[in-house]
Amino acid sequence: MKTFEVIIIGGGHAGIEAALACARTGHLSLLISMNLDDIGRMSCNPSIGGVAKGQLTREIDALGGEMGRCIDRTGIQFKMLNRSKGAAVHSPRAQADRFLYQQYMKQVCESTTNLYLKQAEVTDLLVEDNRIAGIRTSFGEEISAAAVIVCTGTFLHGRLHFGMTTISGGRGGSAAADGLSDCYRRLGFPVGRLKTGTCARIHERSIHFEKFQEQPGDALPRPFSFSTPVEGFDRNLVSCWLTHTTEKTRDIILANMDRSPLYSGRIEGIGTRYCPSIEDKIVKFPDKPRHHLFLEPEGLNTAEWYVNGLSTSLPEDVQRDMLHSCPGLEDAEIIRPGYAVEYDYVPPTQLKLTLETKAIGGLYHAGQINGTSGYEEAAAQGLYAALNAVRFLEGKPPLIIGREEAYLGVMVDDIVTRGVLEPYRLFTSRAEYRLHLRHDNADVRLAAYGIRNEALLQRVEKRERDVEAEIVRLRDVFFSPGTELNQFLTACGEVPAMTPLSAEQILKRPGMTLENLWELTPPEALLDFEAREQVEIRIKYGGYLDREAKTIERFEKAEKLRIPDTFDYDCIPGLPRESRQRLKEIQPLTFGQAARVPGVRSSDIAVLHIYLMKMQKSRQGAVNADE
Amino acid sequence: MRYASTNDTIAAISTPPGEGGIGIVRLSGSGAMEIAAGMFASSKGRDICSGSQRVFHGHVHDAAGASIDEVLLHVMRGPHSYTAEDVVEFNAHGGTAPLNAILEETLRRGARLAGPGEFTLRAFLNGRMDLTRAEAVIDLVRAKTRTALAAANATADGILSKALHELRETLADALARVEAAVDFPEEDLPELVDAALVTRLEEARGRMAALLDSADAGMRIREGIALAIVGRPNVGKSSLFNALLRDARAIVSAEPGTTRDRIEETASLGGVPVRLMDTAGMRDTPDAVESQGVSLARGAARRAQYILFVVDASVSETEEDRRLAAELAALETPIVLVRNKIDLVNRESHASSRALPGIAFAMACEVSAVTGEGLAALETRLGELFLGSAHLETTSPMLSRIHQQDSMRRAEGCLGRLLSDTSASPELLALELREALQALGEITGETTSEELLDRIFSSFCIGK
Repeated sequence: MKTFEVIIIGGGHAGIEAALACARTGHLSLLISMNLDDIGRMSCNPSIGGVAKGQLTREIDALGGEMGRCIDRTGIQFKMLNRSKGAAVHSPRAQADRFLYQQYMKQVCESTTNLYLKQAEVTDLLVEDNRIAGIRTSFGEEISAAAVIVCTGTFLHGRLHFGMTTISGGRGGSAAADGLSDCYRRLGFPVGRLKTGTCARIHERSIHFEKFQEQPGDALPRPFSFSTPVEGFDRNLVSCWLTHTTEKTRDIILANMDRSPLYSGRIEGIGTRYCPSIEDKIVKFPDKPRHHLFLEPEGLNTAEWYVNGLSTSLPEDVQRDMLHSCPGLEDAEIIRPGYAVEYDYVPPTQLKLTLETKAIGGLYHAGQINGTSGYEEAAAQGLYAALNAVRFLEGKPPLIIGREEAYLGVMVDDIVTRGVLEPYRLFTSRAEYRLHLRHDNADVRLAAYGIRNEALLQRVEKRERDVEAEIVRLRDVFFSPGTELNQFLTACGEVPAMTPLSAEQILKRPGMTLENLWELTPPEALLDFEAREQVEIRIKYGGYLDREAKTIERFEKAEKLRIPDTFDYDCIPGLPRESRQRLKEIQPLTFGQAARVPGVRSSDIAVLHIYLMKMQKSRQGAVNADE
Repeated sequence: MRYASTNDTIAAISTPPGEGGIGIVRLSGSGAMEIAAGMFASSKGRDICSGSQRVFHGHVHDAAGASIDEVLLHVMRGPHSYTAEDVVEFNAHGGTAPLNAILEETLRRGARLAGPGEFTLRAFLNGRMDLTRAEAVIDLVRAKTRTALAAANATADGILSKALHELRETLADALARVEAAVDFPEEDLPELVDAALVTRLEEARGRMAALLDSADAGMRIREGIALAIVGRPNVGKSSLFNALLRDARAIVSAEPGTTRDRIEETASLGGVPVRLMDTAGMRDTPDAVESQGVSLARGAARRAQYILFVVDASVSETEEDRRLAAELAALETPIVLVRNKIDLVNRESHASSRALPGIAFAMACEVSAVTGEGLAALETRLGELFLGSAHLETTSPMLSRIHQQDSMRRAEGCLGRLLSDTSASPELLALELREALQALGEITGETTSEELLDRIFSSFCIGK
């Protein structure tokens, strides 16, 4: 029997990051995919990033993942969302050439030492004594491994709905993986159903672009990877185009509701509120006369365009009528129809905070099998599961990234502690400490946990020193409100000063940049773009960051109060039955995590706290007695 | 942590100490039924653990089987009880001996003596009430005046929780809108902070300010204030002290230990529990004993939140009056000028322009401690002075604790900053709203830190 250290099932965005991270840390790894041509396939929209997802992609990069490097080389339009708002919520997004993206990812996987690729369908997980032992393929071949990371996307018992026609499939054009799904049921895992969907792709020659509003990329595009130099980065090759649905679109949808599998009861899975199908939007917001539609190119060398905002499972003829009711799409020619996909997921409350299943040691889940949606969410989980699988193989303590450290930490804690009721997507509002979890400082926050990034770590450390030194310098330089200062301020379009100002105070003014300020007070050594950005953000946001830091301190106190693995919730009769059951099921690692378990009331948490403090005291007492 | 356990059964005498027609011993916890069943014999031979009956007549007996007392037993099964646990109450004859004997028997059978406020702590921990209501229950028990009782009752009924809940709803609505602006920049969402939202937030801030305004009065109603009666010798301080007490006697409760020398007593004045401190006449004196009294008087004046400065209206103000007034004024404590002995004054001449120049009094009154003339007016006006006329209405929501005031101040500060620049970037508006919600949650206990809980519950009284 062949033997690997880790087997990764699935070659999507989660599987790629998982496989690369395992192989790059020196572990013999096997990535199994049902179709190796589909490695890194963008099944839905041809873009990476967006609000919270962009921050997450930067985190993946800081941890040594591949997604950021890949999009920097295969992206064709870069745009910073929320640019008009504060730096904390700036969110990078890029359009990808999905063919180049796939090709790049496949090449990286093929050329990585320790990583082996295999085309096969896994139908069984081999389990011995509650530990994973390997896998079996549909041909009966058994391969052993001490760790298995399952990244099967929407393929488990996947069913595609095109109107009232339902076919088996993991996505348009790919077969479903029913065998593995049955295996999970055999192993006793609870399995749920979720649904997601995609829109029609249309032919470029049928689009009247002159009727759209052009959405160009940024003048100064920002790359995703910390290894890509900001200066000189320019990959804005295309535009996106904006139009909208009309009241006629609405009428068409309403007239055809009986042909929607969503509304005729054919789809049982629960869909996401955040990326709803157009029929959902029409039903839930009947008063809204129009909805935005963004046309996005699928690549440089294809005529296919993606109609963002028109995800649907209505039959193809209805899709055509809908498209034709929108300005600029009167003659739209459908190349591939949109569809809904229903699939199995394993509730992530079955997982530890490392993404390892509680029931089977060495078995990890990442991506849509956990009920999440989105390439970035999947990739981040794949990477995180791999970092922990590697520690598991090496007998090292796990890596837990907290909610105060990263969007990744927020996501993992959310799904593991709270479970999912619908496909889970990241938002900045899910993070308590949003001002700290910025895209610009993802490397500062996470580089130390990452792999293969000594160079990045050194850069971060040097930059931090430079940034702190510059902040201290600006704090100590003062200007009296004389001619020199006020001429400078006026030239910068600022109000003249009446009292002495420190350079820091001047930089706090909203319109002021560090480069401007340097004309008044030149630095000893010039700082690069990223260092300048840090100085500006930390000074301009100063008071707010300090306030948030205080609440983080309080939060960390609760996170440091550990709940022992052996903790017996039955010893607290004051706990209502349902709270006790929830806590037993989730097995929170810390008091802070316990407080986030849904259905457990604040008064129950107070009881738990009393017990934990008592245990801690008696432990300390025991230690003191030993001395 | 004082209350290191909630899985055992607690017991306490729930009625005040001393002789009474009836006394109650209360048991709560998982063992309450078993303990009670073991020491109680129903006169009709009924089993208190089975059936739907909730009130039993019978006898409590001790370890040797000897009857302690004839009792009515009330059984309240959890979660439909005060603590949401099994609760048994022994309604026995009042008096220290039988109640203590019953309590001892419950302890012998495995119950633990309840800590101060532990029954209410359990009610809170078991989710029966939010923090504002749990705290109000203890105020009910402790209320020394009718006003305090009414205020505590209103809060225990949930009037404050309701007001806070409405505030939270308003802020949460605003937060949802602000968060949406951050998370969905590409959707055509309504304007971030429109006029209607600003109006709602300003209105919420107004309600917060009103609650903050109520806090001083609320704390005074709950905690009372210290009032020192000061003046030179023989102006009638002790007569005034006794006269004020005589009126209040009916609902005065003696503070143990402070009453022996009869110089400190608690009285209800205008609805506020007031700790009245009678002091020695203040004058410079070579006499050692008297000098000690004078120094005690100075101490009392310094500790007091208000000073009643008494002068003799029947004679001209003396040099000593003026010196003393100046000394008191230097303390910067509000001073009420009381002209006593108006019964000895010629009606036409007493209202002459004699004054104490340069001293600003919070108010001035004329009374006769001996005839009682002017006393009622003095009390009423003191009540208005202590509470402000706006807060005599105790059925509106009120803050009555420092931690409530602190949290509300933080929440109000956040909203103030937010409203000072509603065009700020939405993530900063969100920061203010999130912090304000957090602060409001601390008052209701939804987000209360555990240290705060400990402090709150350690001040509870036994048996409730």
